[in-house]
Amino acid sequence: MDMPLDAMNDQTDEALLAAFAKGEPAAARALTARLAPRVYAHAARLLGDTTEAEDVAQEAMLRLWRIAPDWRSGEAQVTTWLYRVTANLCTDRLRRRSRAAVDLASVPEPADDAASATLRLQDKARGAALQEALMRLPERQRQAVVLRHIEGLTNPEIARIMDIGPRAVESLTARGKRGLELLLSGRREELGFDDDD
Amino acid sequence: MTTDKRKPDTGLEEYFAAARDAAPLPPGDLLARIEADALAEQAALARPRRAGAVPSGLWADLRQALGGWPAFAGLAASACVGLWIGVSPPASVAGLWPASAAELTGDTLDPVSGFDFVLVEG
Repeated sequence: MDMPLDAMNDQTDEALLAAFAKGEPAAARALTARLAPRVYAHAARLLGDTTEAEDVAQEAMLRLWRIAPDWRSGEAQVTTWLYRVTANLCTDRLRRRSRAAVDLASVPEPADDAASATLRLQDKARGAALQEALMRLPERQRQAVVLRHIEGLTNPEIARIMDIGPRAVESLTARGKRGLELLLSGRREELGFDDDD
Repeated sequence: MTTDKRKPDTGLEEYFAAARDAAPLPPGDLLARIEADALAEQAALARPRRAGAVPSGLWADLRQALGGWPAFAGLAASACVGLWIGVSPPASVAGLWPASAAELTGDTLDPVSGFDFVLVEG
C-alpha cells in the first residue's frame, strides 16, 4: 500500500527504512526528503565543494538503500550511520585531492575585497567566512566542529560517528575552535562585528 | 540544535548560527536522482524476494543447487544418450569396447525384459 508522505512524518528513520525494505515507495520518498538534504549539507561543509557534495550525497544514500534489507534494528541510528558513511566518502575525496597537490594549508589568504564586500547579507558573508576557515582546519577537527556546532550533535553521537572516544571529540572540537578563532579574528570588522562584542 | 553550555561564548557562535541558517541546499535534480536510485533499488530488492517465495523443500533445493530447470533438461538429455549407447551401441563405440568384454552372460542383455515380464504378468 502506498501511503501519503504526510502519514510518514511521525515515523522514525528506522521504521521508514524497514518500510523501504518491504517495498514501500512512499518510504523511499520520505527518507530522501528527510535525510538527503542533511547528507548533502554535511558533505558540502566537509568538502567545501557543492558539485562533489552532490556525488557524495547520492553515493551515501545509495549505500543506505542497499543496506536497508540487512539493517539490524536498534544497533545504530540511521543518521549516525549516514554521517559516518558521508564522512568516509569525503575523506576519500579529500585524500585524492591532496594527492593532486592541492594543499589546503598552503592556500593563500583571500584578498580583503573578496566576495564578502559585495555580499549584501551579512549572515551569508559570515557563513562563507566560516566555511573558508573550516577548510583550513585539519580534516578531523573540521568534521568534529561541523558535527558539534553546526549539525548540533552530542559528543557521544560524534564519538560513534568518528569512531573515537568522547574525550577525543572534546579535544578535536576545542582545537578546531581555537583554529577558527585565529583564522577569523582578523575579519571581524569586515564581517560587521563591532570590536566590543 | 544543541549548544555548548559549559563554555563561555567565544564569538564563534554567530558564525555557527549564520552557517546553520544558510545550510547548503541540495539542488532539486539531486533529490530526484536519489529518489530514482531508491525506487530502482527497491525494484531490485523485490525480484529475489519473489523468487524466494517459491516453497522450498528437498527437490526445490536440489533443483536450485543444480542450477534450475535448464540444468535438469541437460541432465535428462545426457541420461537418455547414455541409455541409448548402452542398449544399442553405435558401431564406432562397439569398436572401442567389444561386446564380448561388456557381456555379463553369454546372452544379450535385454534391458526391458523385466518390464515385459510385468506386462505379461499384470
